Amino acid sequence: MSFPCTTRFRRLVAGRSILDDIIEIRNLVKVFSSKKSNVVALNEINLKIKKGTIFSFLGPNGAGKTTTVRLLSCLLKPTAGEAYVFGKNVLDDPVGIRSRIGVLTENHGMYERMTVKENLDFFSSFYGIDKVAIASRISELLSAFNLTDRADDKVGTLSKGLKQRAALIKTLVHDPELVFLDEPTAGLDPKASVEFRDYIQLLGKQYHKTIFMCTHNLVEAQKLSDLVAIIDKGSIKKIGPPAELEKQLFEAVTFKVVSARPMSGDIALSIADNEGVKASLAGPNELTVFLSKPEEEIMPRIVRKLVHLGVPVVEVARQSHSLEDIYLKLMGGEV
Amino acid sequence: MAQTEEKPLDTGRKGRKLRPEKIRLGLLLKVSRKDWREIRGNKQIMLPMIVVPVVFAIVYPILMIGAPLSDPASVISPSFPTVFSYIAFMTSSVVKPLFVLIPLLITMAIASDSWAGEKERKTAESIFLLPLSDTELFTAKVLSSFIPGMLVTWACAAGTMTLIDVMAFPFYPAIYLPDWSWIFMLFVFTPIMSFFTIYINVWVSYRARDTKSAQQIGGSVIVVVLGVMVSSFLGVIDPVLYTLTAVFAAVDFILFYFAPRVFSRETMIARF
Ligand SMILES: Nc1ncnc2c1ncn2[C@@H]1O[C@H](COP(=O)(O)OP(=O)(O)OP(=O)(O)O)[C@@H](O)[C@H]1O
Ligand SMILES: [Mg+2]
Repeated sequence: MSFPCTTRFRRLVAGRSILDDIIEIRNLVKVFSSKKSNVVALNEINLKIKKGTIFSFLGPNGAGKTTTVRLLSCLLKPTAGEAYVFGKNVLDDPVGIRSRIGVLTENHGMYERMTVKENLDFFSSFYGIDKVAIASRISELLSAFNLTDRADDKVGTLSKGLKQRAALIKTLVHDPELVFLDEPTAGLDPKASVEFRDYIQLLGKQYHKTIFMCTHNLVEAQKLSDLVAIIDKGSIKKIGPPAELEKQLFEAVTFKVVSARPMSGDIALSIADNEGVKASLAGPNELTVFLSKPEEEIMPRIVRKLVHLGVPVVEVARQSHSLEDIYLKLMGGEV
Repeated sequence: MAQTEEKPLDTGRKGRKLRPEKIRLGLLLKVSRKDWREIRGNKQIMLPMIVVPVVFAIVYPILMIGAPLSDPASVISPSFPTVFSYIAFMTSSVVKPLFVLIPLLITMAIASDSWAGEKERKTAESIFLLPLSDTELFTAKVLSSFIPGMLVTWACAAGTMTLIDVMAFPFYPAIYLPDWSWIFMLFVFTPIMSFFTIYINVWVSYRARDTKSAQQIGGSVIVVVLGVMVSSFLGVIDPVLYTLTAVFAAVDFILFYFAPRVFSRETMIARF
């Protein structure tokens, strides 16, 4: 196909993929150098995150998560490679990028001698949003995070979890398009964690905000995220939607079959005779079946065979691998 | 994973700042107002801000000039043929040099806390995340110290000059102060020196780990004051002030241009 491809059009096309990706990182390297040593915090990482994604960044302590957030929020400069946020290089327009993001830092970062309300008023006043809108947004968020009755208390007098909630409000108060959350539920009680999770889901799914979350809470990451990356020692080990990572990492599908009566070892052997199947007796009443795919064809046959052998099957359960299994497998731990 | 055709068009690196940047004063003053609110709650800063003016602007002139005047005849001597000549001498060589010290102490107390305090209280990252340029942030911090420093100095000067005028009135039936040399000192020398002090202190406190070490290093500016004090006893305070004004003006100009450019968030976040 040939049609006049003007420079302007090419610009639009070239700009397009960048605009879809709210975050794009290419071969990013960050080295902290001092007289004594050089610490390679990030070693050639690549990452693309689309608008509306809830992204979880997982990895052990010192893996480089916070460093990545600081680079993307233009607090640190890349040693090599490039980082684009909203299609703009972080070196070119830090003020523009910062005006559209909200960052929850590792330390709550609020002025402890000022009240929650004063802090929120201060931090929200730099974005050119009118006072009335800000005031209603602050009270909305205060009630969403159950902090309304502590709004006039000095931040210094709040407990750790309450400070964290206040900091979350501070992060969201100017209605940022892209939200970075560095360990957001650290210190939150279970109820507050659930409320927070619901709120993040709402932000992502309903308001199409992009969420970049660093966390050690794998259950939370699994429940919330569309995309997960696991980073270790400055390199991204795996990236993908949680379900896809499971497929990639665990070849075998595991089923647990529970019988009403104890089974003999022969049963396990005769099931294992089938092609693509390995079976072992986990207990007197429990048989574990490892299948290579396709499970939907093999599993019904196995159950029929078990019934045929006189096993009173009462339960068949597919054992899915949690994000925790995935994480531990990648980190070389036991599953 | 990155394909070449996806290379964005705006790769021009503007990392180095060459053109002067525009400054949004309204936003800067928000940062300064926040600082002043913090200062009001900080005893370490409020103490010098109250003690210095009271002692240097009120108590000291009363002790040095007012007390001897309770017996006017006692001050008459071959060097001071009239009571007023005594007052004039004490004013210019004993009281005046203190007005180098007052703004210095006030601005130093505030400036040494400016970045070091944010670092110490772990709020530096939050303030860096605001949509302000490095220059704007740096300037905001300079104004946070400069404005209260000047206001306190001028208030002190108004008090001291009134006090001296009242004490001198029986012997000099006209308004003695302010004269041109005081006006020069208060409106030319003091602002220029304050800028210098603040730049040095903001700079030091941005490098220093906490407020205390910032104060120690920044305090070395006090050497300047000692110089002025000595010169005042030698009776050459005015020429010394003019010279210092010229020198500081030049240094300020250089600092004014370079300090915000050298200043970067990276250094503060990454250095411990
Ligand atoms: N300012 C700095 N100077 C020197 N090294 C640093 C600096 N900041 C981070 N590092 C190093 O970079 C590496 C990555 O640190 P980073 O804070 O990004 O880890 P993280 O993944 O956020 O860890 P955690 O889960 O503990 O928060 C670590 O080895 C850390 O020691
Ligand atoms: Mg971290």
